[in-house]
Amino acid sequence: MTTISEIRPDTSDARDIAVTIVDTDVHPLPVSSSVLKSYAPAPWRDRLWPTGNAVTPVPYFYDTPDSYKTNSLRVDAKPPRGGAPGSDPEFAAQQLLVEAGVSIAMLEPMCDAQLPDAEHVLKATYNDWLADVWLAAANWHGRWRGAISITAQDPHAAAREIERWAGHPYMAEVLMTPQTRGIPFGSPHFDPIYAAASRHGLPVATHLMGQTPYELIPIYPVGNPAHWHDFFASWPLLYVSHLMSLVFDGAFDRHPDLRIVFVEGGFTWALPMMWRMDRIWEQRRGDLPLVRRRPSDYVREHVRFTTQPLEEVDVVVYREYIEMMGLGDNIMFSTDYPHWSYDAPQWAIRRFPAEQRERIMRGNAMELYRLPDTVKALPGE
Amino acid sequence: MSVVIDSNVQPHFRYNAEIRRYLPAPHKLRAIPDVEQQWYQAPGGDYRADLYGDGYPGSDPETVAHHLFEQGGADYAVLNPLTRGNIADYLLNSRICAAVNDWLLDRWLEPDATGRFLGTIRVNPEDVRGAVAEIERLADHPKMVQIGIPMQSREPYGKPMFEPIWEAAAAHGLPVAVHINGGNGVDYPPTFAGHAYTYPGYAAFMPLNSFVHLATLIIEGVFGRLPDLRFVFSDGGYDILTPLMWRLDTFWMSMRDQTPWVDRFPSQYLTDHVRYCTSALDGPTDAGLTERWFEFTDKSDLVMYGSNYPHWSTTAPADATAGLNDEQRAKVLWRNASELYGIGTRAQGSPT
Repeated sequence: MTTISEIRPDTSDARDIAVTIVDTDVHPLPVSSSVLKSYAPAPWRDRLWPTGNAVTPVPYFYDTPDSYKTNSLRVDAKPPRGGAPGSDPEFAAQQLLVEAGVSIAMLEPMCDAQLPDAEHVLKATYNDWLADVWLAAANWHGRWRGAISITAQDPHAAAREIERWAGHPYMAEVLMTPQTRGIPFGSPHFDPIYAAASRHGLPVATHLMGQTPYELIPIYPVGNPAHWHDFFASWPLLYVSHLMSLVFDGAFDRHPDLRIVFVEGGFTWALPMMWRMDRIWEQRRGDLPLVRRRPSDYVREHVRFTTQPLEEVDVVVYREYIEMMGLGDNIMFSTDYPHWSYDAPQWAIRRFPAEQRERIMRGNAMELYRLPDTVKALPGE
Repeated sequence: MSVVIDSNVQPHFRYNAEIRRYLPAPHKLRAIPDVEQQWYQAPGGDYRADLYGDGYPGSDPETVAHHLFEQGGADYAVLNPLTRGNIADYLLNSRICAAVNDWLLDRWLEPDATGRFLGTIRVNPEDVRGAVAEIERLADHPKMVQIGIPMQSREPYGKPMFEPIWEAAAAHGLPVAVHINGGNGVDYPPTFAGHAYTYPGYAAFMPLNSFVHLATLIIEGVFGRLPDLRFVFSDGGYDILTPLMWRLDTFWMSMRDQTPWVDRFPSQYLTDHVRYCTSALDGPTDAGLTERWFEFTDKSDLVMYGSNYPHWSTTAPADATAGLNDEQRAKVLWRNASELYGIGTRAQGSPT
């Protein structure tokens, strides 16, 4: 395990360049399960990764395009030295930072386990691995930021894990699954997590995690679709559910410094859902005793949305819609590198209204994550 | 003075037990949930406070006609009564639906000489054969203009087990209206994140579940196979339509190999197959944005005025169309409903 004092970024000869693009959704992978296991406490090594008959354990009920052959990862992101896309910090830096032009990227590992204690250990293992493999020597340029993975099943253990990493120079947010087994985000159940994150100025990001075990699939209230496209097109409704709960159940008044980031769940629904919350609040304020301000005000102050996957819509219509939303302070660019549905910065930027571009591409994330104005240039930049 | 068609009105029994007069003997003494018996009842009652008292809200045809037509300015009203939830005994549920239909004919449609009340054939999708039989029993009644089913379901309506019901509806040219039901049933929690902790958390979210029915009807190919099938989402939820249809269009492009029968963008099915009723929770809080917002996804071709009377969220025609331009308003207030239900030649000929 790496301790904070061991991290001494080499700031020697590299030139400083301005931060122009912040990517708020990137997925690193361990190069092999044995590497990851080496960071796990010995008694857990065989319990967290039981061996069995499965040769290709498909970790989901809904398969994304080409999942069997490529694990739905970009084939061109496979590192030349071997390993899966996203498993080689140097190659990822070359492809995402140098070639795609990203200045700073937020690393969000995806993992989960069935039982609370196992999941807590698994998350902690990922944190140790991320800190060591990505955020130590490989981060000599300071352009990776990490998410502190926590289990939502045991909020007290999660809070301790947040405390363990809170002083780390490159751990910049807390990452919590939205697949909370029927507990909405506004529930006091999560208060220990929100309190710890707020105490350390760490936003809480949420991102789709695995789909096994079965109970991690959100139960769609009218039943679950059969295919990835209707399942994942409806996925933002999970975020809407959590958002309504956060606002209506008083989480932002209990935690005034809490910031929530909804990752990869769309953002064009944000304004209509703010209208919807405002409307019912106006009509039934007496039934919302924990709501002390206009619901949309809470969203503007406390909530951020990442952009990928941008919808494929006529660019002019899309820009007009985003302009109408007027949420330029709440939207943050993301690529989802190295996943199949990657959004390239150069492709994405022209889809945003001109006057919102700077804030979406870097400004909002720089403020939220307290990022520097400049970073070290990599060779070739 | 334009014509107004109200596409979403809930008539009620005068008292909960009145339904038993319409049930056959073996079912008269069964346990049946009351209408306002649900986990998420509005504090103070689901219906407009001023309507409680002299009889149950929405239970007296003359009073309802007075409120809708004389005071509210509507010319026609499509009555869509609630049933009692997806109760475990699906055969009993089908009998409840039939009783509601017989009551609607007996108390509302047959005695109305003015022709302003139109009706809904309630069916139980958990009993597919029974639902088809009920459609066949009543489809030819001239005042029955649509099929009615609950929003609540344990499978989305695009799944293949339901298709015989949609085939029967399409064969008779009857749209299928999906509405949040009353009563109490075997249902999943109402939000994607579990139970709502407040009534507004329930009421604001529940209409959005219609999108899952819609997405599966498209992706499973139901609309593609049944060109005459129309679905009406009576609780609104069109505020999230544009974002989620864009998303579905986008993913469809990458997933065409899994559902090759979807031979066009999912959003291209909307105009021919989908309508929404207006609601008190949809749309901009700043009316200055409404006209522009309405044009995304061509909502003026999809949305029909529905008062939701006698619900607490009842909206008047003027409030439901605030901020729309004249053409949008005419489509919402009557043109879309007139075309969908084939009603109101009187309306079609009227100046607007």
